[in-house]
Amino acid sequence: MPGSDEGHLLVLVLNSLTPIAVVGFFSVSYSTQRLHAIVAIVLVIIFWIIITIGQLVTMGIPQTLAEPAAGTIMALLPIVLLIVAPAKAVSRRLIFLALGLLLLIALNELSKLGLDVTAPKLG
Amino acid sequence: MADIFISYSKADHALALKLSAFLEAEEWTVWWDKSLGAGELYRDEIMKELATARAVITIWTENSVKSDFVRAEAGRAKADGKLIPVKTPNVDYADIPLPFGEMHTENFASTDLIRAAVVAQLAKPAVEPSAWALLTKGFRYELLTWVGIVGGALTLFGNLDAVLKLADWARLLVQNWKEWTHAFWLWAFSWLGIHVSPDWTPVLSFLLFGSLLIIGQAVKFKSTIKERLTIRDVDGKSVYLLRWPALAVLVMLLCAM
Repeated sequence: MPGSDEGHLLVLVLNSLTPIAVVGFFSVSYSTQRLHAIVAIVLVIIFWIIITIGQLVTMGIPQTLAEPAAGTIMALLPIVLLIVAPAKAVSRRLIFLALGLLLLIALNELSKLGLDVTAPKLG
Repeated sequence: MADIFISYSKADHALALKLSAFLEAEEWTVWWDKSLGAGELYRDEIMKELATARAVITIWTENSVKSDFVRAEAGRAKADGKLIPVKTPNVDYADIPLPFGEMHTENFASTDLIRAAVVAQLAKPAVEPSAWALLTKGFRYELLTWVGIVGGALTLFGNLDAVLKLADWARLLVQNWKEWTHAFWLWAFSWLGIHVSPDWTPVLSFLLFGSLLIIGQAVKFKSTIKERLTIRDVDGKSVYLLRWPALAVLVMLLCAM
C-alpha cells in the first residue's frame, strides 16, 4: 500500500529528527553565541536529512525502527562533539562544507548542460 | 635558572635590593649579583644566569650608564629580546647610552608598569618558534578540519545520486568514492569481526568526516586560541556550542526514551 509506506516514511523521518531537534533546542538555549549555534544545528539537520533520505531511497523503507534508531543515535555523535569545539568556528566550517556541496552540485549541472566554450575561429 | 635577571651598577645596590624584593613578592624568581666585590670574579656565573633568565631588567642610573658591565649585559639581553630597561627619575633618555636610549624605559617607581612589562615578557615562549613552525602550526590543525570538510561534501554529494542525474565525471567520482570508503569501513570493522553493508557506508563516512571537522577545530581551540578567551570564561560565558548542563539534560532525555 503506497499510502501506508508514505506514512511509515514520515514516522521514520520524524523519529530520526526529533532527538536531534531536542538536542539542538537545548544547545541553542544554553549557548551564548546563539546565531552560530542555530546555523550549526540547522546545517547538521540538513546534512542528516540528505544522508537519511538518500539511504531510504536506496535501501527502501525499513519495517522496523531498529535501524533508524541506530542511525539517530549515531547522528547525535557530531552534535555531542560540539561540546568541545567553539560554536563560531564550527558553524563557519559547516558553511564551508555546505558551499563545497553546492559547488559540486553546480559543477554537475553545468557539465550536464554540455556548454561549448571554445572560442570561434577568426577569419 | 631564575625568571628575572637584574643588571645594575654596584653603587646602586640598594635599588637592586628593593626591585628584587618587589619582584620576589610577586612570586618570580630573581637573580642578581649580591656580592659587593668586583663582578669580574663571578663573571662566568653572571653570564650563565644572564643567558638562562627569561627577562632581564637593567636599572639605568647615573652610575650604571657609565658601567661597561651593565652596558654589556643590556646589549646581550637586547640581542636575546628579553631586555626590560628601567631608569631612575634623575636619568634622562639622553643620558642612557645608545641604542638603549631609543627604547621605551619605565621609571623605577612605576612598579605596576614594571610588573606589566615582566608579565608580557614572561608570557613569550622560551624559545621563539621558527617561521616554518609557525606556518605549519595552524595548517596542521586546519588539515584535519579540511579533510572533514572535503570528505563530508563528497559523501553528501554521493548520497544525492539517487535524486540527481549525475554527469559522467561526477558519476565516476561518486562511484570511486563509495568504493574507497566502503573498502575502508570493511577493513575497519573487520577487526571486530563485523561485516558492514554498503548501505551503511555513507552514514558512517559522514559521521567520521563530521567528527574530524569538529575535532580539528576543538584541538585548534584548545592549543592555540583559548588563552585569549580566558577572561570570557571567567565571566561565566561559554564559547562552546553545547554546555555541560545541556548535555546533562540530553542524557536524561535519552535515558527516559
